[in-house]
Amino acid sequence: MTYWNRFRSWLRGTLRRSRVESEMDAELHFHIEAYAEDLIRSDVPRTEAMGRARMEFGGIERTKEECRDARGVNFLDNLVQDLRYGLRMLTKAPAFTAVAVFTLALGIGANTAIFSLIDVILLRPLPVRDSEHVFLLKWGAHNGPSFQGYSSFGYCHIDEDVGEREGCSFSYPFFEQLRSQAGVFSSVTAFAGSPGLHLDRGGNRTRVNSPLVSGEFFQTLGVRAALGRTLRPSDDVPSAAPVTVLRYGYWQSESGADRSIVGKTLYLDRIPVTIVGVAEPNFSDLIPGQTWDMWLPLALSSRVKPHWSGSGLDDNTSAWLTIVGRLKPGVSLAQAQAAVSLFFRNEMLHGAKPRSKEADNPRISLLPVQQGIVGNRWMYQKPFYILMIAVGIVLLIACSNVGGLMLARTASRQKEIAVRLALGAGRARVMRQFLTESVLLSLAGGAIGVFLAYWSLAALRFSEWLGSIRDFAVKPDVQILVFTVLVSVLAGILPGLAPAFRGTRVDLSPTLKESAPTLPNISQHGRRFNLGSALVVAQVTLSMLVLAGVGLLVRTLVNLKSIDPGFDTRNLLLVGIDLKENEYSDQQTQNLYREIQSRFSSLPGVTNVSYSSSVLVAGSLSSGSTRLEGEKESVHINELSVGPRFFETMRIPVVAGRALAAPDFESTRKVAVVNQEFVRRYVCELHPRAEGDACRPACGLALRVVRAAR
Amino acid sequence: MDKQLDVLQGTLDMLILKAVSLGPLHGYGTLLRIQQVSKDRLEIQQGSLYPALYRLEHQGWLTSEWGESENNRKAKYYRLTAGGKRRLQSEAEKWNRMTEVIAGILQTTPEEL
Repeated sequence: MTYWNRFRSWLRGTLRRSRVESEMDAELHFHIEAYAEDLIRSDVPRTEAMGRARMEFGGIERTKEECRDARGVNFLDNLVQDLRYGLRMLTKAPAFTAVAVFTLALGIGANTAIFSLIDVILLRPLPVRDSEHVFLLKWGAHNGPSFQGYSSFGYCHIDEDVGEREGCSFSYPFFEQLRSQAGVFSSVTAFAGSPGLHLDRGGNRTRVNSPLVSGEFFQTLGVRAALGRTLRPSDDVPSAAPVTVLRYGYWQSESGADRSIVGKTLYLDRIPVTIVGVAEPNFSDLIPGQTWDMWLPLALSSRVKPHWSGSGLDDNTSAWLTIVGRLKPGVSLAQAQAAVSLFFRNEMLHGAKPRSKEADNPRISLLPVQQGIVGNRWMYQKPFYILMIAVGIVLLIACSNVGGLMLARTASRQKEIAVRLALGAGRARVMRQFLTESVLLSLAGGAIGVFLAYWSLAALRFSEWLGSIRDFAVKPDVQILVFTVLVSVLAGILPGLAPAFRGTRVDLSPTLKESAPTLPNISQHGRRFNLGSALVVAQVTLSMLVLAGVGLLVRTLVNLKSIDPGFDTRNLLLVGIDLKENEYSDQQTQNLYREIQSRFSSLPGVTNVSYSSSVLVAGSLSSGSTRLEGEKESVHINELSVGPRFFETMRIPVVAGRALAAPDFESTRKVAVVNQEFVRRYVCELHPRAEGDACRPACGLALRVVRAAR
Repeated sequence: MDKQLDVLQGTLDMLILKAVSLGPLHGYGTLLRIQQVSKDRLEIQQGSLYPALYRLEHQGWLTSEWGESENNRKAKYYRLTAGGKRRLQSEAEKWNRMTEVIAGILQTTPEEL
């Protein structure tokens, strides 16, 4: 109440200044005149009365000033005055101003750039309504349950280092059971990755990123439609006609925001799919950095048959679904966790074919969706915070630089300051002048810094350096701007402090008596020297810190570059081909690859050409379980299907046996080349007692291994 | 006790609130009423009155409006608000407690210790 009052009176005083001023004037004059009349009544001569009344009242102007202070009006007046004066002083020294603004712009720009990345990648909340009630299912067990197929799509991050096995992928029958029987969720949904379909558009086919989601997806996440409707459970049954919901941005860019699009049909690899709606604008992804184009019902997987869904929806040996549920009101997390764990235990231990042992204690934990669905955010966490600290230090260096410059300038402004102090300005008022000037500088620096930040981020997006960062759309938003303004103000106050304290401690009389206006008087006590050298020490220290850090970083990068990946990276070129899966039969695909290989080989300057299912060390691998001959347990291995002359092309040395040869590709006998790690792990370690011979690379294990490569 | 006393620091606000609580007053009237009630034993700096009035109005304890003075001139009249009334009450209570305690201390004789 009283704050409101104060604000109102302050506002009135500020906005209707002339009226308030004239009222104040009238009030004070009324007082003096009334007093004078009383004096006359008590026999003071009329001629003297007015003068006496004035004198007894005291300084009218001082009273007015105190009245203005009492209403908080002066603050703004002084600020405007300081700003005006500060601007004048800064334009008087353009070189100083330019250097200071540019220095601060660099520091603030670096901070804004890194904070933008952190904001977008680490801090931005998932586009889920009331996300505190939404949880991700994660299983854990001492030894992982055996699934025949296991696929995850990067929604959650599994820490490989912990002793326990964990995962976030489940089978469709498990989801089905949870949906129909677990009473702890008000709504539960499952989703997978994109089956890699292609959109036909008059002969032009483009790949669409269209994850398969259950019918409850939008309802569970609390996402509404901007146009039409979202998916319903009734869309997600095998008999339903295929429908889809488009991402808002995709709808805008692909159809030009055509509002009549609802009800139209798209063809995705010859499957007619009806568009039923467009999702709300802020919902484009669950994993930061990954953008979806449209969402398809899970039931469609029986038609598109992605390899990860096993033999179909009722296959409970393939885990490929990420499950997220919204808790019913009143159900506690522990309750829900216990209920869901019970389902999982039953499924794992007492199914038709048990897939886990009692001793492994299979269970479910529920993670808040914000923590659970991290995508590849976790990769950036550490490097980004380290970068933030580094650019923070750079800003400190910039501040101390500017502080030093300002300090040097106060020396030449001694006379001016002395005059102000002599005329009755308070020390605080003069200090405020200095701070206003330095904040002015840093705000100008901040404004330029924002541009610098976005230019540098745009440049980074096209460099390889930060890898997939270019997938993250970094746009200036309120949070980032607020951050920049705060940093700018801070970066203004810091360098202003030194001159403000030092500069206002002036011995008045000698300074004023000095005839030459620029002769500084403050070095007399050796104080300025101390403050100045402290700044220099701070600068050098911080610079050393950054220099050492950068040195280490560069060293690491150089080391990374010289890591031997096991193949020869020199003069190796990579070509990616999207074969529009459904149009080519296996045989046709084979033929095409062979054809491309032979055409490329005949190009001048090409020595070797080969192909493989994925790119080595590019982060994707297929894995499967294989049983070694004579072993009961199967082992989990990563495999890569390659074409002829792969080893020659990649220059992978073969340490024993031979590389794959042309006849291997024609024969029905399956062969493979294993690496030394495989031999170490599965041959040496499984037969620790068989020394000597057994620990040498051996052929014909289970896969008819053609001998070990590096 | 003929000599006038200076107003104790911090009590001017309370005196103004009290004076205005007896009926709306203009600035000069406030001064006169305090002097009248105190039987001219208190000396108030005329210049210090207005900043105090402005401060009290800014804090919402007083409101003001322009009206006609006794001799038909325009004057700014101050009036106590509901908040001002509460404020005056609590200030007065505090003051009474304070004077009681101090008087108690000053009256202490060696025998009482």
